[in-house]
Amino acid sequence: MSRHTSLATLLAALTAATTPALAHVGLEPAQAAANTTIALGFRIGHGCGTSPTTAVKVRIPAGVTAVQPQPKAGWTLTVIRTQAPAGAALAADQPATAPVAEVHWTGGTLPVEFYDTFFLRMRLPATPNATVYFPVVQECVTGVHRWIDVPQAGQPEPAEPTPGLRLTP
Amino acid sequence: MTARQILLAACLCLGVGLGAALSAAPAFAHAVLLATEPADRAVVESAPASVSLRFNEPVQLVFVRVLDASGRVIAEAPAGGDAAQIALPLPGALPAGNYLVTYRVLSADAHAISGTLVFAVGAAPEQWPEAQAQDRYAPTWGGIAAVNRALHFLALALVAGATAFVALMKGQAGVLRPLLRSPVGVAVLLGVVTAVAAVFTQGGIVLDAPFAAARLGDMWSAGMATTQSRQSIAAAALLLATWQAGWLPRARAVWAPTVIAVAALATLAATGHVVTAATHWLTVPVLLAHAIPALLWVGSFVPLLLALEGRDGSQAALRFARIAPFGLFILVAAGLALAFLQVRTWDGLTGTAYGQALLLKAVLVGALLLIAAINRWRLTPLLQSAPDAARAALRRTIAIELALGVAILAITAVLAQTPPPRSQLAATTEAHGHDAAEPGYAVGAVAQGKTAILAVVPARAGRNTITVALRGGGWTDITPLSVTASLSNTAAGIEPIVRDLPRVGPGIYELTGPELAVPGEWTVKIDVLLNDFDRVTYSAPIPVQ
Repeated sequence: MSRHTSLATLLAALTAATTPALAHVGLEPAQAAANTTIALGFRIGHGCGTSPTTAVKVRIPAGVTAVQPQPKAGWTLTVIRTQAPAGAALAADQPATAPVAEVHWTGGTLPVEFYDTFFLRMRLPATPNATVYFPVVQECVTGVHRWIDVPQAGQPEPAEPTPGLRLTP
Repeated sequence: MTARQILLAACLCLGVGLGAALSAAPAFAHAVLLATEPADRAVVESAPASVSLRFNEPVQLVFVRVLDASGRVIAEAPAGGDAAQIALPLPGALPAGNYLVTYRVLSADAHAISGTLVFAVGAAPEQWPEAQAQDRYAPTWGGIAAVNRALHFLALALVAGATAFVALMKGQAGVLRPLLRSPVGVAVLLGVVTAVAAVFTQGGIVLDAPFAAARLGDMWSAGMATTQSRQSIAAAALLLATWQAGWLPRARAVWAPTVIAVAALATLAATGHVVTAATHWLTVPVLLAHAIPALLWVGSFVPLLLALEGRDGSQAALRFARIAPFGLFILVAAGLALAFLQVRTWDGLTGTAYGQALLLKAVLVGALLLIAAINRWRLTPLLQSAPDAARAALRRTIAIELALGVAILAITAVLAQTPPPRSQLAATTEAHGHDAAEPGYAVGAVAQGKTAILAVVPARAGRNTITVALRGGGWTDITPLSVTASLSNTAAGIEPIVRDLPRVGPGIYELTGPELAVPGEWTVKIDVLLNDFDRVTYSAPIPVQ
């Protein structure tokens, strides 16, 4: 068991060492136990070329529930919720209970030489060994990065891969 | 080399050809799956209400099943129907997890297609399950079907050829009939047996059935549900009727049995690729104009050989030589037209198994025509001056013709089993409009239920207008955030050139520019950004002249 673990750690370290760290949105942590509640950070380490980041938008994948974004000084926080299910008229006066579809942090400025992390608390799905992908759109003064291409096994990594959170048992 | 030795060599050739057909064992099918909802490897947020499969042409459903990760069948549609779109409603509220959709359908040309796709509800799995529906027995059944079909062609050719020959030489019917009765009897029997066997082999392909006697009943019913059954029943009945009308010892009629025998040949148009070609009002008559003279011609070699053994054979050969060229002209012209309808492009001719088999067939037909020309213009005139020597020479060349004819029939049987480029074209492009009169090139493609039609005008090196027309599911309007084209030509070493296509009208995006600067095959990738997070990508090869 421990040998397997250490081998996995070694492999992970090797992968991390060989993967270019630039031009990605990083997740903190990179993996978490399935069916637990965690605070997940989206680390923005660069802008669009030399242009500073002005908005970060995250789409919440299916299976992720109880999403609570952390407000950030200097940024406007917007939460977009899914439509309340049909027949849920009684819940209309409690719109905050509808599931979160997207979270937008807008109106701030993150210069290219700095990094920042945007946090969401969430309940993870009970699907161990799966990877949950969080599509992210990073807008800059000029230009935009759309981290929306999910990496596929056996395919070269896309230019702008969707960050994925591995669920452990 | 005597006629007998040549015939022996012909049988050997046939054996080798059929062996090749068996080993090639093509298990392709000819309808093409264009799109599915959910798409293969799609991750959907909530369980879909139904699974739908869309094909390029109407198909008959054998089964479609949805299985959960543990392999339990959670939804299944009954066999039947005849539609291009198959929808299978799912039970409400599927839990998150992986699902497999496995299907098997029959296209109208009686070929079976099967496949499996996977989708996930909720989170994408780390590793997608293996989604390969392996046909275990169908490829072997396909090989057996090709051999069987070759024998069936041969039987039809012999019966019809001999019957028509007797009609043409009606002065000598009394001499020819007893000579030909036993070969024709064997051919009728072979034709009926292969017609019945075709139903079983078709059933084997459809069901992917193992070789077990217990499954014969199922195979028969499955085979009878395909278009093959029409051909089998009609051909067997017409062959027996030909025997009854023209070959029993007391039979005297010559034209009635010929008409029946030709009708038996016409049954070949009841099944196969031509049935599914979009323009089948055109392909069916053209196929008949090709197949009927071709089979009559090949089938007449045997009676001609037998007739030439006797002295009166000279008369028969002279008469045959006068009539044959008309039939040959029609069959070659119709053959070329058919080849065009099924292949469409030069690449299709050289780059696909179908095209290569067709080229081989064309070479053999060329050789056959050459020998026919020698017979017609060199040997036949000699029949008057040096009858005995000419008859011996003619019997040798006709035996070679027969051998070539049999080889051509074998290749044709393999062609019938191989998907024509026409159907493969549909796999990447649904609507393929390449109009020779108008300069330009257009392809259509469907992805995630959205249709894009890409047109490049004039598709010549230099300044071009690239137009993309977009429609959503149900042909609705969609208004994407942006449409981007990325143009590359790997053969010319041109890395992708990325250009935004400005919107010029509802659902129409267009750019005119010098990007397609060199001729060759370009790859045009169109990225349609539907909203911040969703992108649909289409990719198509565009030939630039």
